[in-house]
Amino acid sequence: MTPLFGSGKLIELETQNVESLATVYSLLARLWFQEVDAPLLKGMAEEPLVSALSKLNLSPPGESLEQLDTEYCALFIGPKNALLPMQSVWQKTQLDGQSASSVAKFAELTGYVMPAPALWDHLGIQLDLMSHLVLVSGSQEGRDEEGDVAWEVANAFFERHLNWPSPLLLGTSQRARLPLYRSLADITQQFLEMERTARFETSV
Amino acid sequence: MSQDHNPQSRLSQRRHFLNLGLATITSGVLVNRNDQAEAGQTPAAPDDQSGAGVRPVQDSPRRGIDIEKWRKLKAEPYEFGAFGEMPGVCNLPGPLAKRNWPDRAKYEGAVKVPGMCQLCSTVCGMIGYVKDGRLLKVEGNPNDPNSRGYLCARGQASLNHLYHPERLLYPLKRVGERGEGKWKRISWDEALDEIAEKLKAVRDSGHPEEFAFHQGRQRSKDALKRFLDAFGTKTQLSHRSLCSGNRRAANLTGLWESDWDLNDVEHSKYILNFGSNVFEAHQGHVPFASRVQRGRFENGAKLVTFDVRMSNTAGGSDEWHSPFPGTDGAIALAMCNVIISRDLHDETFIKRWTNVSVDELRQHLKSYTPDWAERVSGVAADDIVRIATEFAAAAPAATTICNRGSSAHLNGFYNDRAIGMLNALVGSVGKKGGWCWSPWGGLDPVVKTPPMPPGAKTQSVLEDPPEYPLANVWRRMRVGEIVYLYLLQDRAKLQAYMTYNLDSPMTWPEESMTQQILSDEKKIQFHVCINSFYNETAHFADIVLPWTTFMERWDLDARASYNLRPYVGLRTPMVEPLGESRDVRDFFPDLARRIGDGMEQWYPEKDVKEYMEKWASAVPENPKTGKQGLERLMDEGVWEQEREPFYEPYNQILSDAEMQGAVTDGEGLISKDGIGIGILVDGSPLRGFKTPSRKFEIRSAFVSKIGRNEDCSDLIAASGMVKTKNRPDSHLPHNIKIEDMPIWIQPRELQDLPADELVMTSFKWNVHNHGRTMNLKWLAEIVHSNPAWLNPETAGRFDLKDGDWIEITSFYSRELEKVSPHLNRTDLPESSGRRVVSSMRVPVVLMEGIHPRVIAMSNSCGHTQYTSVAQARKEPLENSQLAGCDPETYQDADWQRNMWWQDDSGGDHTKWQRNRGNGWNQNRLMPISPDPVTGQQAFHDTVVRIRKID
Repeated sequence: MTPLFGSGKLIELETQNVESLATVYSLLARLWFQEVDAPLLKGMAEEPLVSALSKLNLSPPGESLEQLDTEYCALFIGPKNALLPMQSVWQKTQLDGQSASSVAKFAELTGYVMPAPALWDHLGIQLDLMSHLVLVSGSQEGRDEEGDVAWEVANAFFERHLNWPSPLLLGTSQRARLPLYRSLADITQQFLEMERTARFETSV
Repeated sequence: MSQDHNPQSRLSQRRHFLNLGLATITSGVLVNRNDQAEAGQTPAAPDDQSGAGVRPVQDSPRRGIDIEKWRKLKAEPYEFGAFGEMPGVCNLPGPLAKRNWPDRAKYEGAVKVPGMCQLCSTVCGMIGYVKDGRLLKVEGNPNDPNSRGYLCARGQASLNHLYHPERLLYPLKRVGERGEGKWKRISWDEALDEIAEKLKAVRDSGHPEEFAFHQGRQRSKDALKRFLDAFGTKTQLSHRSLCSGNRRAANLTGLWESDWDLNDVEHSKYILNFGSNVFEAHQGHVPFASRVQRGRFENGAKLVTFDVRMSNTAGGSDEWHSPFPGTDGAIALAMCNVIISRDLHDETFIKRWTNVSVDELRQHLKSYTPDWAERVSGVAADDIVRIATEFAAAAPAATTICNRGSSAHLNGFYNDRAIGMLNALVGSVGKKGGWCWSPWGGLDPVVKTPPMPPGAKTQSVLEDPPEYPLANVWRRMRVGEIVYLYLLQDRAKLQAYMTYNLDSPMTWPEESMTQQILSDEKKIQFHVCINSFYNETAHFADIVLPWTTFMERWDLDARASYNLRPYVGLRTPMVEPLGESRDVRDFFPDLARRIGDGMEQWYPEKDVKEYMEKWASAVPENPKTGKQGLERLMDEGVWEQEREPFYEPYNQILSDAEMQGAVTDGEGLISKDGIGIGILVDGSPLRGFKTPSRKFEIRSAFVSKIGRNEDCSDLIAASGMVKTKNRPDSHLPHNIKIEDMPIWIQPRELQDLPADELVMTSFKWNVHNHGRTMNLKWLAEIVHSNPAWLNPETAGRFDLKDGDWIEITSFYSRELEKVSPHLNRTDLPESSGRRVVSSMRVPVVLMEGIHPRVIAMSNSCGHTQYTSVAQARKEPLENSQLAGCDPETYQDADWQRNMWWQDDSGGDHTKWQRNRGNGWNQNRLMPISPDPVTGQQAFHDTVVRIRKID
């Protein structure tokens, strides 16, 4: 595993950190966006991922894919009493609301392309777009004008579109029957809190 | 999930996350999008409908930010950098919207897109205001010749429908037992592959009829027929017999060419309404109601309503009379008696254009006196005489109207024939302001679908039950309510069952049996449900397909036109379908290709739009815009043919070309090649009516002969209606006596109804349809519950006061036990020698506006699976998976503020508060009760007993 801290130049480390951070957004995006599939399940059970996840209290799922699919469906799709991971559902109790249009406008502004058909304000899409913005922002030291703007845009996006999920994450944590989704909610909550702190409390 | 604020812990946490990122990169579990691009895979576009989208995400392609645009956005007036609203993002109507009303900026740049409502059967023209791919508002389309720009409350709630947070967005596959409620998401490819495999097996079994398609309200007739004919099954089941079978059969008996009377109320002077709640419901609701009011307030028409219940129509009428249930026909016959016996009839019309003489009528009607009608109906004989006299005096600008109030009875076929006869006697049939019809039931026949497959030739007792002679003779009305019973009786089986916009456990009689059959995998081996929402039918499916709403799909559509001119309306996607929802027009071609064996040949178009272009190609050019076909419809939403209204079609003179080669028989009937085309009247060759006699058939030899399974080929040929059929040989053992003249009979259970029994009736409120609107919060807020209506006099007899609870016990029909023994259930309990359907506990409201022998409940209520709003739940159910969790779920400000009606009584009626809860499904009490002649469900004849619950 590549060491995070240790030898090497700061700029390389920071670049590495940026990519790591973006990848965490991507991984969370993937887990929120759709069910776990066989390659992902296998990867989560093997090194290096299994150790990295265990440090965040997420053990590899011991359930079958079908059990995981059923859990994902009951939690995030329904058809009844689901905790739809979409911002406008939680804020306006409707699909495709104002927040969806807003995310779409951010995507247009930043050249982001949705990876698969979805509603724009799905948490998976929002996390993925944020991953894109983190990469475009680059490291603080190496930032050019576009990077500065990207940082500004990323913060604006975070403020509007990653500030809402706490009730969803709490509901998921309480309702999930399988450890994977309880942990996913907890990890997402921790990560977003960490990012919020980094963006708005300890950095410019 | 609390946040640790210790700096060391935070640093450690950050390390863990960065480690996770690196580990994820190293593990390669995420597909790099740039790698996908290199491999030739293109990220799916947001409007990709294939369902085969690229799932894993990592590393969006590094594309530049539009810096100039960002700078503009963050500057004044937007000040986006200060986290104001994202410019150009519109609020949809929703919580607290009134505080910012009117928001003028909201509609800037919005595009108007035409469409057609489908929240009831009336299909009013709509215009949607679309901005940034979102529908902001709908309003009526003033170009629509039928609805003329009006849109009722249901239509206004379309936005609730489209953006409902509990819409189905993905295909689902059952995981647990059927009905257990466990699902997993599958892709469209997986869903269609599995469905195709099952349907192919049905085809290969040699019994294609064992694939049944069961529709609720549907407005894509061509798409369904194309698929089913291409497949080779005729087992297309519908709800028509639960709706309008008797009225249609009665109209067809007299007219043959139309099953739908289009009363020209706008030009009437007198409107005689037998049991239609036109101001609140009715097929043709808004177009018809608005014309009734124009007739009244601009033309001076009088509106007289007979209804057991004081509906909003009855309350808004000039007179309301409350007859005993099912006696509309008796009143109509007595009025006919008055008109004939007092020589108020139109002698010329009867002689020229009916197939009975005045003397025959006098003889037939003599026993149906006003005094007799008063005895059976309770309506005063004097009123009957007066109203009949007024009606005749206003003729020919006089018309009856009727609907389920008169027709949803075991004698409904005869009720409606008697009501129709009134118009013939006063000569208002086909006249301006009178009782009219049109030969086109919906779309202008000018538009032709692309070539259709030949009709399927299969036979199934589910689709054509032999016991009901008039169910499928002129039109395929079918007998929907017997489907589950016949499956229970093993008279048929289904290898595959596809339901579409159907909520049969809610809207069909005998809820418990419907649920029993739907959950039985031996009776229904494979069930695919196509719907926009999870509901009581989807709950028993094996695969659920997410259907688009009517704001996301294509149709050409129209209703029978009250302008008496044909038209073509366009339903078009106002916005892209949400999630992975798809319309049948879109995925039936995919499914057909997967099934193969020639099915695919009926889907040559590359997409739905190409199909629509072909279908609409006959719409002529608008000289003002130069647009024609689909382009014109996209522009205007609708096209109405320029022609005279369809008044007095029987007086049309046959042209020389039409008469070329024609022969006239001794009775003046004109035919060509053995097919009737007209009648000679006073030396003129006229079109006449499209009946065997070429006259309005008060007396129908045809229905009597059909009931006896006799050959009617000569009558069918004489009518010129070559699509009408004799009954098939499979019906031979099932003779039913059908009277040739309008009569009145009373089911035996209603004769001398015991004092402790009541007749149950149902009704619809002005904000709901039967099973599909209670999920819409704007409507549910207005009506969400349905306590039983009782007259105070009745309540007094049972020692009941307003708000008390009763137990209702319902019984099967004694009449049907005798005349329809194939319906009998011996597996059910008896009470006092009668078979019990079910019992249910409900509260009562006391109303003067209800007949003392009647108990009424509105339908639409009592959902158990259909969204939180429909179940009146803003908090999770006890005993649900959330019990004890006290979770924070999403909060709807509208619900929190306005869903005050959640019932927290826990089923304890002593704790129940008035107007709380989501009501009760009345169909739990209703027996399967088909009119023996047509199969129309007799929703309004159910005999019940009630008792007070302490």
